Amino acid sequence: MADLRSFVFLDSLQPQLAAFLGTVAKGFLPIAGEASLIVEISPGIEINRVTDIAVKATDVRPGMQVVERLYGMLEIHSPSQADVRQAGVAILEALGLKEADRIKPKVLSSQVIKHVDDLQVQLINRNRQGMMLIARESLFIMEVEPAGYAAFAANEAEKASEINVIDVRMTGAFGRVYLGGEQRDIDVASVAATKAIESLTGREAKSSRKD
Amino acid sequence: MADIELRSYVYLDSLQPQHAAFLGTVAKGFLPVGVQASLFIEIAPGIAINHLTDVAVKATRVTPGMQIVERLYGLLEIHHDDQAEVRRAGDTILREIGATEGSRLKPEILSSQVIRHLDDRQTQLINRVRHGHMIVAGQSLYTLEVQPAANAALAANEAEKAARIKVLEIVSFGSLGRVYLAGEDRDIDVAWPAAENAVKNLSGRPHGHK
Repeated sequence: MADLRSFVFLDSLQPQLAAFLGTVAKGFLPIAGEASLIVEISPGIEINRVTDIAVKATDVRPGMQVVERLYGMLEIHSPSQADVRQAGVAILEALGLKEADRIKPKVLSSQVIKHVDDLQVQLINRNRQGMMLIARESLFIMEVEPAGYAAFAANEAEKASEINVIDVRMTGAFGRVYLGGEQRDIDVASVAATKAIESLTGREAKSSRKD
Repeated sequence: MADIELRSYVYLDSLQPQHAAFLGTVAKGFLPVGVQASLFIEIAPGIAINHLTDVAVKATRVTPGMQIVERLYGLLEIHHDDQAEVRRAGDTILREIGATEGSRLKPEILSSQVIRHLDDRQTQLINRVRHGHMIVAGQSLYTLEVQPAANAALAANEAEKAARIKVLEIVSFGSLGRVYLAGEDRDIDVAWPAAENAVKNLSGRPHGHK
């Protein structure tokens, strides 16, 4: 039986997160304002069945379906929140799970680097897929487990403040969110991202972090 | 080395923050940082650029960010904290190929257009191919095509000096240079004349003349 890791509903994809998904998604591209659902399960390969259920049950479109080392991740979206919610219900039903079976997300690390140096921004810029980080901006980095919740943290931070979405890693062992901007905006974004993660319920699970 | 044709000789006095970040993303060589001076040299035949890089790095302390040999032309980008060092590297290269700054081609604008209030769906296509900032729905998009290609770097740098735009993409090699900028209408309307004027004001020999 599949183990439910992330199950998170985004009520309205914010413009930059939508643009970011438009860059990294290999499937159907979402647009801003659409509702989105991110489901992460283990074992990873089972995600193929989850996608099958979602696309047959409702009118949602799949943006990402990723099978990685251990986990599988699916992103689906639609202009209709109802369709996305219904797809979520169908997925849970087919897997014999409840929303409460997801893992309660945990913030593993959260840091703000103020006034990032010219030299450091260039390293960040080579690896990101979203906005560029500009020298002397501040950088917020958050690690969250399970990974799928990174998208929720980024979306809520973008609602709250005028930041640039630099990178959002929502697959793998940990999710990572990189946000850049003026210090005043980063200060607001970091609180919003942390609150978003802390607001979610779920079962307690042992962290796979070794340190 | 008199059979090398100088196509672009584009000197940037001060790399703007986004332009520096953009080069930091796409450059395969040493990465520049903001406010450094930079020089883009474009020649034909392309493969001869190897020789010009050799001359520049042996004569001065400049660091090379990009050296690109493409179908027809060769591009070299070098940069340094000192404007003087970059200018000296440029002089050395010109002397080596028996050219002057004025023997570059006069840049020619092939297209320059503003698309206002971009649709959600169109932004997603652009976001998949850009290397710089993302464009978000509702912003306006400015695109410029210029030849020779390296002049795109000058247009983008001057536009960034003038207006609060987001640099999406700069293609500074190949047969055409391209600049993609995004922003609010008010900012795009300041950026595009700045980009156009920057390349229009550059001297050089007319196209079709050796």
